[in-house]
Amino acid sequence: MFKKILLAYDGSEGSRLALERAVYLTAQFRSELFILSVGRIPEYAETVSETEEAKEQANKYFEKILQSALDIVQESGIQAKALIRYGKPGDEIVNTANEIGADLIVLGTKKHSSLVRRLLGATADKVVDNAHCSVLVVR
Amino acid sequence: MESLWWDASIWFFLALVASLISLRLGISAALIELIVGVVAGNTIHPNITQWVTFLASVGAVVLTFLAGAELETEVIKKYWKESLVLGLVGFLSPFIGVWLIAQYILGWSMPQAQLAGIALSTTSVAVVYAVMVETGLNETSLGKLILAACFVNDLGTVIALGLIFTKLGTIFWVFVVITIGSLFVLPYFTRLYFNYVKNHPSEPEVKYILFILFALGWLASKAGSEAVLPAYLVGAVLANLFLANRELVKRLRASTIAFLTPFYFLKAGSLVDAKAVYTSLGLIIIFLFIKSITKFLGLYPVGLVFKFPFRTNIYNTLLMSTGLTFGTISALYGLNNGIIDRIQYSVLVVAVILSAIIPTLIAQKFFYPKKEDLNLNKN
Repeated sequence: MFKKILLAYDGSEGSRLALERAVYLTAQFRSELFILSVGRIPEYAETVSETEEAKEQANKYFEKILQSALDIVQESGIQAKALIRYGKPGDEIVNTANEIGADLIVLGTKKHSSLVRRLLGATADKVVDNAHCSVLVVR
Repeated sequence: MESLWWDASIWFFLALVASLISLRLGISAALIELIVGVVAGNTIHPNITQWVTFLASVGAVVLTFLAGAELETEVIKKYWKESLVLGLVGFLSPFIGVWLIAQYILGWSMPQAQLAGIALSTTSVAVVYAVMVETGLNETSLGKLILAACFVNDLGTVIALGLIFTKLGTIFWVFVVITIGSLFVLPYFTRLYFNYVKNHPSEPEVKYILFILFALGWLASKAGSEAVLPAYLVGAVLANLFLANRELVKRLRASTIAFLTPFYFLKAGSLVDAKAVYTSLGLIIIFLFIKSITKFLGLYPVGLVFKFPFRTNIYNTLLMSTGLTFGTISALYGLNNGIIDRIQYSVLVVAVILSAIIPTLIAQKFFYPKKEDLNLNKN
C-alpha cells in the first residue's frame, strides 16, 4: 500500500513513537523508509558564517540522532536512508516528501498551548495542510 | 560606576531576551534585536551612553569586516562579468531611483535623499545565503553568481556611504592613499603575521584585526568618511586568508555576536520612534515599493541579457532586493551625522527591516527556480 515512507525524526519523545510506527508499517508493506531530520537555519542572518555554523551544529547533532534511529531500524531487519535538510521543519518535510515521491509521511507531535499553536503553528499542522500524500501523526 | 553596571545589565537583558526569542522563532538575533530595540526605545528608554555608542560602532565595523571576509574571490573571478554588472545595477538603480523620488517628489533635501538612496540600495549576502541554504541553491553556479552580485552591490553601498558625504580635503586624500596602500600590503603582511603567531591562546590575530580596523576607522572618521568603508575593503582583501582559517572566523564572530552587535542592533532599533512609524506608514510602504521596483527595473533586463529563465530572473531580482545590516548602518550614519532627523531615520530603518522579510518570502513562495534551471547550473 505504501511504497515510500518518509519519517520526520528529531529524537524527541513524539518522534520516537513515530519511528516505532514507521518501522512497523515499513515491515508490513515492505516499503522503502527514509528518515529525515531538519536543522533550523536562522532566517535573515547577520553573516554567512552564522548560517554555516548553524548548519555544522545541526549536522553534528542530527548525525548522532539519525544514527541511533538507524540502529533501531536495523535491529528490526529493515534498511533505511537517513537525510538531513535545513530550513523550516514543516516546509522541508513536505518538500522532501515531494522530492523522493513519498506516499506516506509519518511524524510525531508535541503538545503546544493553543496560544503557541495559533501564533507559531505546529509542524504537524503545516505538514497535514500542505503534503501531497497521506500523513500519519502519531500520538 | 554603579549606573554603568545598571545600564549594562539593562542592555544585556534586552540582548538576552532577543536571543531567546530568536532561538524560539528560528529568526536571526540581528532582526529580533532591532525589533526588541524598537520596543525598548519606545517604552523603557534604555540609556544610550558613550560606551554603548562605542560598542555599537565597533559592532557595526567588525560585522562589516566579517561580511567582506566572506567574499569568495574564486566565484567573483569566475563570474566577474555577470556579478559586476548585476551588482552595479543592483546598487545604482535603487540608489538613483530612491534619491530622485525622495528629493523631487517627497521633498527631502539632497543629502537626505542621497542617504535614503544609499540605505535602500543595499542587499544582504547573509540573508540571501540563508535563504539559499534552505533550498540547496547555494551549491549551484546560479546561487554562487547571485551571492557574488550581492557582494558587489554592497560594495557599491559602502563606497557611496564612505565617499558621498565626505569633503575632499587633504585628510581625505591621505585616507584614500593609506587605505589603498594597506589593501595592497595587508594580504601579504597578514599571512606572514598569522604564520608567526599561529593561533596562540592570547588571540593575537583578533587583536591585530581590531587594531587595523580601529586605525583605519579613525582615519576614515578624521577624513569625514565612515569606518565601515575600510572595514569592508580590508575584509575583502583578507577573505582568502579567512576562508582558510574558519576557526578564526568562528572566534571573531562569536565574540562579536555575543558582545558587540547586540549593542549595535538594539541601539539602532531603540532610536526608531514608534509614533513616527505609525504616522509615516504610507511613506514606509512607498520607500519599500520604490526599492523593490527600482531593483526590478534595473536587474530584470540585465537578467534577460544573461539569458536567465523567467522564474530565475524574478527570483534573483527579489533576493537582491533584500537588505538589513548595511541599510541600518547607513540610516544610523545619517542620524548620527545630522543628515536625517529621527522621523526620517525611523522610516528608513523600518523600510530596511521590511525589505529583509518581504522579498525573501515572495521569492521562496512563488518564484523558486525550476529544478531543470538549477541542474543546468550545477557545478
